[in-house]
Amino acid sequence: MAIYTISVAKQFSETPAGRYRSDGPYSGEVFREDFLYPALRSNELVEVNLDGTLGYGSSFLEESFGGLVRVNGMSMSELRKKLKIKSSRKFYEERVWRYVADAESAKAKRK
Amino acid sequence: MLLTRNRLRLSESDWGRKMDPIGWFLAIGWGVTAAGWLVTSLQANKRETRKEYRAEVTALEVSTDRLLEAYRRYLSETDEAKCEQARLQVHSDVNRVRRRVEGLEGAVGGEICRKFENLFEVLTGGDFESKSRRSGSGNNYARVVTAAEDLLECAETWFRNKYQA
Repeated sequence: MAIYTISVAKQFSETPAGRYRSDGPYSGEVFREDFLYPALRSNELVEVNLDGTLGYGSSFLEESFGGLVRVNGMSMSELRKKLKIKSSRKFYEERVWRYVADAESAKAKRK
Repeated sequence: MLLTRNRLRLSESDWGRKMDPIGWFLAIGWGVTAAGWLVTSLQANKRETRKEYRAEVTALEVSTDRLLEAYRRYLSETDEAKCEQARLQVHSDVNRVRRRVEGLEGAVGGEICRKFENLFEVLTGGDFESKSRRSGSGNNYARVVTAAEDLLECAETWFRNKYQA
């Protein structure tokens, strides 16, 4: 299976910041809408490499990944199959899946 | 006078039972010395381990104080360039604190990681890095300080219970 890799640091920004598009050109919404979601729609497996950046805020990560569930309608099980997170800083990888799980729980409660 | 087994006409089985008092005294002496060395060695190791953990907890406190200072500057700075520098410093210092926490996790347990997660969420959530944030809006600072205090209290309490109780 071919893996499509996105390096946040090399292809997006070394200092991603903010949640919404209105917060700036390197926000979570920009990353999700312009990079991540299109890649997930077009590829069987997408690997997101989180290394190389100075760090991430919770707003950026939640909007980028939790937003896939909240906004783009993807499910946790779908993302578990299609999305791979690569990070030497395991904390960020754990946060990503926590945000996805929380978004899924919130969506389930609304139904 | 050298007392050999032959001269004493002892059988092999008699040799052990009839070891002279000096031999027993020496054997017990060596045994006590070895036990004393072992106890001293264990105590020295425990002291060294205590010192290492004390240093780690103190380093966590220093890193956390630095993080709070960077965050305070980020909230209060009106100059855009300086505010951006403070924002980058916050990210750098968050990672520094994270590394310290991960280093202590094995000894302290998962509780310290949960405290750090809370600090991370309170500090980098909300209007952090948002264009809508206004300089001088320090409402979140108190919450961040509380979360930082919880983190440090977790580490200090563990150290006190382990090494000073």
